Amino acid sequence: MRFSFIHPKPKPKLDQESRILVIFLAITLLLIFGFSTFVLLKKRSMESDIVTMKQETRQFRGKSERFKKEIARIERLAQKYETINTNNTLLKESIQNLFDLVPDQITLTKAILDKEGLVLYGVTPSKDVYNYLLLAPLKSVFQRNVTTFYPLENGWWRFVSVNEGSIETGSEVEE
Amino acid sequence: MGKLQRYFWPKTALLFFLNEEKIEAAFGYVEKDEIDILERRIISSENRSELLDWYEEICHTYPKTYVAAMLDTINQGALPECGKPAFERFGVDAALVHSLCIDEKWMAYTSLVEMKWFEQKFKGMEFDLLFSPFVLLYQRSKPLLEENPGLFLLHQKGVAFMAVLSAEQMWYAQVLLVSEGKMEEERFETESEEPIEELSFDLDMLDEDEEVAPISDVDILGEFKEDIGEGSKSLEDESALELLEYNLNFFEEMKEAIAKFYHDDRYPHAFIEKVTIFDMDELESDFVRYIEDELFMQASLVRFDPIDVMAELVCEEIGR
Repeated sequence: MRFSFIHPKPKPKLDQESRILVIFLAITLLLIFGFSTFVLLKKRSMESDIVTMKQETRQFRGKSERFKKEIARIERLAQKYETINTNNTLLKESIQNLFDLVPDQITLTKAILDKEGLVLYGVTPSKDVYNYLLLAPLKSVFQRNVTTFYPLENGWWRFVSVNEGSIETGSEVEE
Repeated sequence: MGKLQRYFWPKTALLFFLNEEKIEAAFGYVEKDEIDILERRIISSENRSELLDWYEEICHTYPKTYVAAMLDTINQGALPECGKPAFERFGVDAALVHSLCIDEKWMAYTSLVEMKWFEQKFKGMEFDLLFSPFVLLYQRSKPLLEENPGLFLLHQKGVAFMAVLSAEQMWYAQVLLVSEGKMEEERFETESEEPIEELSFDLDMLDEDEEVAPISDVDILGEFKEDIGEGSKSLEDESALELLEYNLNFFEEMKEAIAKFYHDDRYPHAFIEKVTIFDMDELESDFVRYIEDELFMQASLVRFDPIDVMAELVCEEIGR
């Protein structure tokens, strides 16, 4: 019930200083809330990133393993290639040397060079020519030498010289 | 109101009223059912700026401060009914007054212009509640109301707010202006008013030959000197005489008002047996005895503090 001739006027709830304080507090709370939200979202995003990165790490680790194996294989191949190349060079040089060993009096009709050794087919004017001019250097190269002679009509000798021993021949690369 | 609420969101009130040449003001916290008065000040009415300064200081600290005052204007009153027809019936111009229906039983009104003057007198102060003295009188009288009507007076120096009240209704209300020099004023008024028929005469009827001479007896009296006597004693006597005269005037006004209540047909009639005077001034028990002896009524004198009553009303208005 009313007792007054006039109505009370609406009053401000806060004074100027309290209003500033409340605004300041509100802004602070807003910032804290905003920052917390940001941190929370960032955390979630980072968690999902971590999961993704773990998966990627696993994938990369697998790839790395594969690449390592590949590198090892390639290194092995390179090493093999190097060995074969060296062997081939050596073989080439050996063949060159072998051909250099063959004197002019002896004619080679066939030469088989394999892992086991060297098999030479040819014609020699005499056994001594063969023994002195060809067998001596072959003996210095191969451990075992077996030579078989076949007489020809013109007095020459056909020979088959089987040399086994130390010379390594180039072969296919084993993978 | 809890202490925390009082600390952070205090609701306060500045209550004041004008009493003679001073303003009595009080400031306190508005609680649920009461106002916890913290400070009271008496300020000279000439030094109103002190009150305004205090108000500004309070408002700066407590923005939720309600300002309540008792209207001390003369042109106000109360009618025993609510509604516009009551104004017509009792000869009050409704366009010039601001009214308030109380308890749906009676109506307090005040002059709009005077209310604005009052607000203007305290320019810079935002009033929230303005109480009629009749409302304060009614609030204070409530616990004393009975089936039979009683006469209740709120007396302030120079003015009294009179109401005949019972538990059911208001019977009559009037503002009594009590003058300290009423007898002299009355004499003066009588002289200035229309000449009394017995004493009136036509100047033309006078014999032209008859000389109009000054009354020589006045000259005979010579120089008249009142013996003042010793200063303080005479002053005391003078103030006692003034008080006696004031009390007599007040009594006369009261008697006239009661007579008006008994004889005015616009008001319901009932015999008044009890008089309760709520005094804001310094009426003495002699006055009560005088009423009892002269009017054969049971009279009582009670001290009245408008601040206390306003505090109750402010709580009811804004404390809810």
